[in-house]
Amino acid sequence: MNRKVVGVVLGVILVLSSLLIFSVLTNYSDDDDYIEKQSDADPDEMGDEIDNNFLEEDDEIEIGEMV
Amino acid sequence: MKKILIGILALVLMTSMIQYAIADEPEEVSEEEITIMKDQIGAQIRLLQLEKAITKNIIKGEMLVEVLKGIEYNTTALEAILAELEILKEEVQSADPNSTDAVEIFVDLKSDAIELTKEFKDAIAEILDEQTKEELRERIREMVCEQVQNLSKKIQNRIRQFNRNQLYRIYSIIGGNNTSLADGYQNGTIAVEQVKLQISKMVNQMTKEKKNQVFSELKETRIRNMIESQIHMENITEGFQERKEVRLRNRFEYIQNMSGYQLKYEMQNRLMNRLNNTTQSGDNGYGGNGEGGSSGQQGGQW
Repeated sequence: MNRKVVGVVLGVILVLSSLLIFSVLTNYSDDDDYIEKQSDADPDEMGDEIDNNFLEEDDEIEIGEMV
Repeated sequence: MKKILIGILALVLMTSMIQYAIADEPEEVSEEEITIMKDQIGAQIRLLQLEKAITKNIIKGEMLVEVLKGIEYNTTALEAILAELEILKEEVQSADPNSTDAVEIFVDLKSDAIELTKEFKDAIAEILDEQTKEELRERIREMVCEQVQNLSKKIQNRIRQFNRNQLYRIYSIIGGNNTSLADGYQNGTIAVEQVKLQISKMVNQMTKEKKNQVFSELKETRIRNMIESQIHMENITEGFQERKEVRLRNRFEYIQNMSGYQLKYEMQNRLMNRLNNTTQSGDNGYGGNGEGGSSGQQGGQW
């Protein structure tokens, strides 16, 4: 009985894993499309990438308040 | 090729993030804070910022102690915390930003600063009601002192140097060079927002391919820096307890030369208790570095 339950659980896990792998692969079947989607420079993202390089002049670190 | 590399880097980052989430993560210091410390000026900035934060809290704490003395409250315990914050400030001041363990020292000492601040706040909370605390908060909120102002100026100068270097690094990627912009920023006539805007304009004039290349390089550098910071943080977590014990022992030895019996006695008790708690709890949070930062004391034996 226990073996059957374990077998069913393993079977379900196998099917779900296969579905997940299949969906990921078919989603980006074309490598170039995938890479293009990853790297196309959206103006906002580009702005963020530029911003990330600079520190604000009033930048501070927090250690908490005394009262 | 670079796009593939970015993809791989992103995957590595995600994997390390999952590992890091499972690990015992210290909350006091973010990767963003230590990322700039790979740069010498960045390390100077963080240590100065920590010194400024501690200095501000000491000044506020001293004012609060004066208020409590006025209502004849025994402030010895609070003064002992402030005295330890002073020692901590000296440790921060003597920390070497060029040292290979500068990040470790910063993270450890910042953790101490947070712990001591919290202890002070908790002690105050037991004494005063909410209304009085709110009044005191108002009084100390806008406190200005020369010491803090000088530190603010130093920090601002270092940040401008840091940003200027960053600007040249970006120029090397986008293939431009505008020294008047860099000079204007350095001497304070141009704001950092204008600098960012100018770079964005330069990038927008590029071809799509070049724009993508710039984007990829910026992103790749950021991801690489984040991975390095995370690895660094994980390494720092190891040996936390031992470092904290060494630091507390160093402070214990340091206060032996202090005058004022009552305060010294209170500090000794506090340090002993904290040392015992550290040893017993076996916590793996964040603590300090006793090597190189503790007012010139090294690995005390007692």
